Amino acid sequence: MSNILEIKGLHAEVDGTEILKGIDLSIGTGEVHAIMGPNGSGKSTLSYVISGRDGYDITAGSISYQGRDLTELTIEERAAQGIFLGFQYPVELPGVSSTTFLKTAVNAVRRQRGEDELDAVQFMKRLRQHTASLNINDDMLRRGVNVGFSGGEKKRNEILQMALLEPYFAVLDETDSGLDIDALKVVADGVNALRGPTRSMLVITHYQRLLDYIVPDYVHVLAHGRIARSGGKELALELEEKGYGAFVDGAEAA
Amino acid sequence: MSLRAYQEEMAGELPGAGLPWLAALRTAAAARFEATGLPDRKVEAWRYTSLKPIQDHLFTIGAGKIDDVPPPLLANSHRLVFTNGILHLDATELPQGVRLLGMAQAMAGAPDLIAESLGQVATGQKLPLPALNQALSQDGYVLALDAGIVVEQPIEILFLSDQGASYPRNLVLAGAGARATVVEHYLGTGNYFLNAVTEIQAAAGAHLRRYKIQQEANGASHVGTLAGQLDGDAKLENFDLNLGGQLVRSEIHMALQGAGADATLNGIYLLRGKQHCDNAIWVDHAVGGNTSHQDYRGILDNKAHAVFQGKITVRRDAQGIEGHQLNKTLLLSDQAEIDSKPELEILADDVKCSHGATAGELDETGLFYLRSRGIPEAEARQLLMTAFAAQTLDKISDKAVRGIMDGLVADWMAS
Amino acid sequence: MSYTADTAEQVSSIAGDKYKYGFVTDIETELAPMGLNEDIIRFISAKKNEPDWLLQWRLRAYARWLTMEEPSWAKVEYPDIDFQDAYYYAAPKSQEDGPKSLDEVDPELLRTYEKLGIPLHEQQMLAGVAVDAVFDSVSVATTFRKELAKAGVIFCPISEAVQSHPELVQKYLGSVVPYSDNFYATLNSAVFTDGSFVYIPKGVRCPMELSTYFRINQANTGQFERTLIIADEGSYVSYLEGCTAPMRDENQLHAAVVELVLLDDAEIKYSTVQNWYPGDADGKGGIYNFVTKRAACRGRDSKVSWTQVETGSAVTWKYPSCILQGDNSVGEFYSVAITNNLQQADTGTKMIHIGKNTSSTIIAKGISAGRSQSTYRGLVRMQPGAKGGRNYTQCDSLLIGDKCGAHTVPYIENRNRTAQIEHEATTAKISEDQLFYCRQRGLSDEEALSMIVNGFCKQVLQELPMEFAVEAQKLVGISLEGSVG
Repeated sequence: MSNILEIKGLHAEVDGTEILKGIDLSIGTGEVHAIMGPNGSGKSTLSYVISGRDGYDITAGSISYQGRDLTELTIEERAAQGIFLGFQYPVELPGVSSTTFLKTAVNAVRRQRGEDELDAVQFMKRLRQHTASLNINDDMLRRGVNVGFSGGEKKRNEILQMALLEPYFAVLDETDSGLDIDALKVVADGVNALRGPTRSMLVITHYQRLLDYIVPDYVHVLAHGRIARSGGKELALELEEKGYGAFVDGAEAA
Repeated sequence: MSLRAYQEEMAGELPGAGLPWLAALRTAAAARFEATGLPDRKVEAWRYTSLKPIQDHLFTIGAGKIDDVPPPLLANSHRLVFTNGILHLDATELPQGVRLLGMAQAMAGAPDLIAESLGQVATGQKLPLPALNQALSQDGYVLALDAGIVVEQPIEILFLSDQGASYPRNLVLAGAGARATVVEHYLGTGNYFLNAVTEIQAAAGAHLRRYKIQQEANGASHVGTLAGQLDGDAKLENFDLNLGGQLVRSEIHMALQGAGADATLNGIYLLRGKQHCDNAIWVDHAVGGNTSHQDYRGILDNKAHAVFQGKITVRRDAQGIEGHQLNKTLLLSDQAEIDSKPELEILADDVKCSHGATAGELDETGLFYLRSRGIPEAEARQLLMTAFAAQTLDKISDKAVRGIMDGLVADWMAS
Repeated sequence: MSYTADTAEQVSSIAGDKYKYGFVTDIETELAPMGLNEDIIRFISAKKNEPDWLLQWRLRAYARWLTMEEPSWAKVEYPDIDFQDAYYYAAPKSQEDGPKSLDEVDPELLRTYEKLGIPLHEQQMLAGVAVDAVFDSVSVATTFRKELAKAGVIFCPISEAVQSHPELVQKYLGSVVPYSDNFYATLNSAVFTDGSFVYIPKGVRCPMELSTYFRINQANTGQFERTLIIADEGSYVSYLEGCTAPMRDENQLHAAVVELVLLDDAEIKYSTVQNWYPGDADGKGGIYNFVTKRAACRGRDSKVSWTQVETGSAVTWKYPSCILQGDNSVGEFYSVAITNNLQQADTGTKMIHIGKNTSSTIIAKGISAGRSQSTYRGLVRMQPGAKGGRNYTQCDSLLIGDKCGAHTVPYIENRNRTAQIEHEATTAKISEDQLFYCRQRGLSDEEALSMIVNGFCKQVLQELPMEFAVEAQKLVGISLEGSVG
C-alpha cells in the first residue's frame, strides 16, 4: 500500500520557538492513525503545519503528500488536493450563512480540481444526504457559520464540511473536546461513515475515550515535539492505564 | 483686563519669579491662552459647555486664608491643605524617597525637582485653560516618588475655597516601579472659580491611583484638568466623583507612551438643580500594546445638564491596542439633559476598540420586579440607582476610598 | 507575511482600472459658459422654462451661497475647489427638445445605459422597476410612465414637474432642505439642473420599484441634481438610485439634494448604491460627493428607511437624515461604506426625534482598506417633546491593512427622560483565524475576504430590494478585490 503522507525529520517553530523537534510519520492510504499526547506536546502545531497555516515555519525535514512536496502549496491548494482540517475550535463567521459558505467552499474546491461547479439544486441535494444523520437542522444552516452554535453543533458542522468536501486526508484536531458522550457518538458515527479505502485520517486527541468510537489502525504518542512511541490500537489502552509519564523522558515529563 | 496686562503687573510677585525658565514657561503659556482666549461653543471640544459665567472672574486672584479646615477624609493619610489655592497646612513626616510639598515651596527651594517636568504634559494649543493656569498659578502640590518607592498610606490633598479665583498647579512624578495613591478633594462654600491642573508622569512600571472627589460649593465654577503620560507597563487608575459646583468641566488628557501601559479612567456624576458637568476625556494610544478603559455613569435630576465626551485615538502602527469606553446616564426629570459623544479615531488595524452609550430613565422592568416583591417604589428606585452607580464604583481598588465614595453617593441619593 | 498583510497588499494593488463604469460616451453636448454667476443661473432657469418664483428662489440661494463658507469639520481633506472652473449645465444636444417617448431617445444614450446594465427599453427591463435616467444635467428617459400613471403615481424629471405640477413643486421644494441649509445644498438650490420627482397619492402602494440612474459624462462639469419625493397619506414607495461616472484625472463635484416628505401613515424606502468613480490607486481623479439628504416624517405613523451602499467617490460627505415629527414615526438608516486606496468617506445620519413615541434604528458598517479614511458621524437627538422616543445605534468598523483609518463620531443628545438611547460601536480587523478557516476549506484569499466582509455587512445588504442586493454584494467584493466579474 502506498503512503499518502510521508513526514521525515520534521522540525517546525512558532514565533521563533521550536515546537516540533524531528517528527517521522508515514500514513498509508485508507489508514486511520491516532496521535495522542499531553498538552503542549505539539499536536495542534502538527495539524497547522500540515494544513499550511502561516506562522508555523518548517525549519528542517519534509512533508510529502501523494508523493508531492506539500510546502509548495498554499492553504487553499492543499484543501483542493484533499487535505481537510477539522478544527479544535471552529471559527465563527458572523453574517455568512452556513449554506452559502458550504456551497462556496465545495465549488471552490471543485473548480481547483477542474470539476464542474454544482448548481443550487445539485448542491442542496448533496447537503441533504448528510444533514439528517449528523442531526443538523435547517436553522443551523441559515445561521452564520458556527455563530451561536453549541460545542456539539460546531463539531457536527465540521464533520458535515468534511463529508461535503470529500477529502483524501483528514486531520481531526481534538474533535472530542467539549463534547458529552451523546454528542461524541454522533460525531464519531459521522467520521466512521466517511472511512474508506481511499481516505486516510489523522485523529488527534488527548484522551483515549474518542478511540473507543473511532478505532485507529495505529497509535502514536507525541511528547516534546517528537513521536515517543508508536504501536497498534492497544497502545491507547496502555496509555490510559499508565498515563503519559511512562512514555516520555522522565526528566521532562510533567 | 487682558491676561498679558495682568501677568505683567503680577510677574514680580509670583513664586519663583527670579527663575528664567519659569518666567519663559509663564510667558509662553500666556501667549498660548491669548491666541485663543476662553473657548466658546464654536470650538468642537466646548460644543456643549459655555464658559461665559466665568469670564469676568478670571483675575479675581488673591483671596485670603480660610481658618476653619475640616478633618481628613481618610485616617492615616499624609495631607496637604490649600485654601483659596495657597498652601495652608503642610504634610506630616514622609517616608524616605518621597517628596510632598507645595509648588511655591518647590519653586523657591527645590526648582531642580520640577524644572524638567512642570508644564510638559498639560500643554499644546488645545488646552487653553491649563495655559491660563500655567500663566497665573501660584501654588499647588508636588509629589515626587523615587524609583521603586511604595507609599502605603494614601496622600490626601484638600483644596478648600470660598471666594475669588484660584489656579492650583499640581505635579506628580513617579519613578520606575513606584506606587502611590492620591486623593484630591475639592470642597468649598460661596461663589468662586477654581481652575486646577494635575500633571502626571509615570515612569516604567509605576502604579498610581488618583481619586478626585469634587464637592465644590453650589455657586462655584470648577475646571479641572488631568494630563498624564504613562511609560511602559505604567498603570493609572483614575476616578472622578463629581457632586458639586454649578459649572464643572473635568478634562483628562492621557498619553500611553509605552507597551503594557494601562489607563483606567472611571467616574460618576450626580447632578441636580441647574448643575452643569462636562467630562471630557482624550486617550492617546501613541504606541502599540497598551490598554485603556473608561466607564462613566451619571444620574441627573431637575434641570441638570451633563456632558460626556471621550475620544480614543489609536495612532498609526500602534498595534495590539485595546480601548473601551462606556457612558451611561439616568434621567430622573423631564428637564434634565445629557449630551454624549464617545469618539474613536483608529489608524492601526490590530485593535479592539469599542464604545457604548445609553441614556434614559430607570428600567421599568426592574422597578416592576422589585415592587412585585413588595419593595415600595421609592426604595426600589433608590436600590436600582445604587446598583447602577455601584457597577462603576466597584472598579475603585482602594477599599478605604471606595467606602468614602459609597457614602457620598448614598448621601446624594438620600437627600 | 501574514494572511492579512497579504490580503491588504492585494487589496491595495487594485487600481482604478478595475472600475468597469469608467468609459466615456462620445456624444455632442451643449454646455453653458464656464463659471458661476447670476447669468448662468438665469441661463439654466431659462433653459428649463421655469416660472419666475423658481428663478427668484435660485437667485436668493445664490446670494446666500456667496456669503457662506465651505464646511471644514468633516474628517476629509481635498484641495480647494475652484467653483468658477466648472460647467454648471451640460446636456446631450440630441435631447434639446426632450424625447417624447423612448423611441426618440438618442441611440447612443440607450447604448450607454445598456453598458451600465440599465437597459431602458421596457421589454428588456427588470420587471417591476421603473427607471429615470439622468445624464449630466438632464433626464434623458423615464420608463414605465403609463403604468405608473394608471396608479396615479407621478414619476418624472423634476424639470418637467415644474411645468406639469407647479403647485406640488412650489409647496414642497425646499421645505425639508431650505435653500439656506448648508454650503453645498445652497449651491445646489441655485444651480440644480434636473433630478427625479415622485408623488404617490393617498392610499397608493406604488406598483413597482422606482429607480433613478445618474451618470456624469461630460468633463469639467458639476452634477447638481435635486430629487423630491412626496408620499401622501397611507402611501408606499420603494425608490433606488444608482450612480456612475467616467474615469477622469480631474475631480468632479456632485452636490445633490434629496428631499422626502411623508404624510400620515406613509412609507418611503430609499436605497442608494453609490458607485461614482473613486479615483485611481494614487488618489488621482474621482468624484467629490457632497450630498444633503433629508426626510421629514410629518405625518403620524410615517416611516422612512434609508439604505446606502457607498463604494465610490474620492470624497464622500453625506448624512441622510430623518426628522421624526409625526407621533409614532419611524426612521431607519442602514449603511455600508467601503473605502479603498485613497478614498475618504465621512458619512452617517441624523435622527431628530420631535414627536411622541418616535423610534429610530441606525446600523452603520464601515470598511477601510488601502490608505483610505472612513468616518461614521451621526447625531441622535431627543427633543423635550419626544416622549417615549427610542433609538438603537450600532456602528462597526472593519480595518483591512495597517495604513487605513476608521473613525466614529456619534453625538447623542437626550432631553427627554422617557426616551431611551442605546449606542454601540466596535472596531476590529478581519481575524487571521477567519481567513485561515475559509482558506482551509478551499476558498482563495479574495473569496474569503469578500465572504467575510459581506457577512459583516449582511444586516445592511438585506435591507436592499432583492434585485439590487445581489448586485451590491458583488460590488462589495469588487471594491475590495481584483476579481472583477
